[in-house]
Amino acid sequence: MDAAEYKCPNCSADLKFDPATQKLTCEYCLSSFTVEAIKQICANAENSINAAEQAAAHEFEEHTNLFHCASCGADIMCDDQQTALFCYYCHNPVILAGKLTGDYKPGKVIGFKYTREQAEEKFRSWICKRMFVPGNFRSSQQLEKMTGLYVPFWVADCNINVDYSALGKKVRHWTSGSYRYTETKEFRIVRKADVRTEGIPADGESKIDDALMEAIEPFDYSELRDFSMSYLSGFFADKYDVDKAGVFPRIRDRATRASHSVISDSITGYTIVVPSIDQHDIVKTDWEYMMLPVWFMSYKYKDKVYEFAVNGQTGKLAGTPPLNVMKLKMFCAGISAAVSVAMALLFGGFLL
Amino acid sequence: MKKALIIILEYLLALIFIFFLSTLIVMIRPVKGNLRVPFESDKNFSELYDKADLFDNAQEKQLRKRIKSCSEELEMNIIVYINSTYRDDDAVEDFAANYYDQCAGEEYTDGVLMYIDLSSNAYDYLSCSGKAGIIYGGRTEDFFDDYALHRQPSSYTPDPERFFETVTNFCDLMVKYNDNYIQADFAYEKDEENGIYFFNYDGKFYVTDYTAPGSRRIRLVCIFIIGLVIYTIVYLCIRKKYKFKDKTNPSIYVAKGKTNFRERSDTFIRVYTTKTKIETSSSGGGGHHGGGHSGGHVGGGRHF
Repeated sequence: MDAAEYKCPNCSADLKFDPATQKLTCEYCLSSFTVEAIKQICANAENSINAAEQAAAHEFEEHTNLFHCASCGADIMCDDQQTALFCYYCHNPVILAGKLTGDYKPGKVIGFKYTREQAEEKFRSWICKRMFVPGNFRSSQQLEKMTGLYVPFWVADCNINVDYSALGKKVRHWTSGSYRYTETKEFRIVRKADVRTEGIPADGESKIDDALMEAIEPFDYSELRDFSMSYLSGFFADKYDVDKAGVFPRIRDRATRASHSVISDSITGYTIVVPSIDQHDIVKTDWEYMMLPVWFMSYKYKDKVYEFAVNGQTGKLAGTPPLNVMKLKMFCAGISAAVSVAMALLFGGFLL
Repeated sequence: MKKALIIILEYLLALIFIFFLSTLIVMIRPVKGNLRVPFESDKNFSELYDKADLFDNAQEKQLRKRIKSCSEELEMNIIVYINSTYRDDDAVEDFAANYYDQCAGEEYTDGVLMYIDLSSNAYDYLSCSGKAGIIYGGRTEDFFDDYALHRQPSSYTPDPERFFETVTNFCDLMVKYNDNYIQADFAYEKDEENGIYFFNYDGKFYVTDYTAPGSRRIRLVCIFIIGLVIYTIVYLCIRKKYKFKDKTNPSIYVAKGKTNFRERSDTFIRVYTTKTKIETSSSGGGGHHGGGHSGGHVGGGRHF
């Protein structure tokens, strides 16, 4: 049997037959499948591309310009009616690099609901609580760098097969006479379940911090629409540079943590739980490539880039505020000096 | 690693700065007033009080002469009080301080009273006043280690010859410890009961009810270290707010109503009970008590 003819249903990499386990395994995302299971999955897969999709891909190729930042390597997409002048990430000038192939056309998109003014107001109220940021971080010039950006996301729906077994202990204590008693009841906990996660996103842009994108989640997928070039008007879009195989480890980690939470929620009333089997296998992953709206801003301070993002749909903000360490040290020194002087006057032996 | 080393270095520098700053502040006004009454040879009231009738006249005469000469040499009063009536430790300390001041006629004069106890469970005590407070007050443990070498234990019948030697040795030790005394501007002794400080600053002996420079420096160093701790706590608390912390819990992506438990069981296996004996601890009583004595004495004693 030529195992290489099968693709991994999770990340599309080639599957190889492992003689030790008698399973087809993916070296990239570490998924494994029995031959029967993979045949079944392949039989159900639809490989045809309909005419409408082909037309949309063609339109995307025709009307999308790609700009490249020579400084940080960012690839910025915008429609052919506008020109990107500066990189949203490093603020250096960008150059026209050409057209995009239809492979980069996203299937779905959520349009911006949060306006630039709302995003700026959100940012202002967030930053006003932080008095130790560098002075020019609050400036209007800095706010002007906020960019409406469609970030490429791989969104995955996963079917997870859970096999969990543990020893649960219920412990109670009481005292009688001069003895302390401890009663321990032991239970064998078994959970076997099919868990489904839907809509776990992972951004396909390597420059933007993954944690930052996770922090502005969730997006409301009920507002998801088929992609159209009109959504790009007035905004920029990022070209993905991490494919679904590249983001799968993140998806797997998050899907596994989600299924862990399902299992933990089903186990209650125990003092101690000691797992013996804790297996969460992703048996099937459905992918959707989409553009999600983000107001993005970056700020370079002392050779470090600080990124901020506002969810363009919900307004949720996340980021790491830059810290002016000298300002903070002066503030702390002032407080400790004031306390020290007060204590010295009270307890320093100068008044006695 | 490099960052941690820099932080350690910063804190070490801060501690050195604190030490020098404290010293500098104290030196702005190191001393204020002096209660001490310096020794005057025409007012020397050094004496041997043999209340136990231990020595004969010849021995007493010899010892008085020795005490007097020692007193003149050290420029302080020396009283040796030998008693055979039992007093508890606190009573001995109060008696020694009060009796010395009674003999001197005023407080804070330079001198010592050595109380030699001939009763069973004897408690010998050295009470120091004036400049003796700083010369001997802080070294009574060492002093009594040397003193014990020529001191007959209380379990024996007091031997006049042995005690003659004890008093003579005591005078020698007074001279030896005086000669070995090293002046240090920030060393001090304190009469805790009366809040009196004994110290030497810039070559001059002081007895004050104003806090000694050494004590003030210690307090300042402690206060500034507290300040440094406050600095660190405030710094870390604020810095924590400048860390990235938001993260979305992935459990929100679990599809509602689509989880299917193929098996869900909690099977009882066994129960067992253990017991441990509760240890009870009884606490003993103890404490410290002290009576009042006239101000400006420090000292130390030992049982023989």
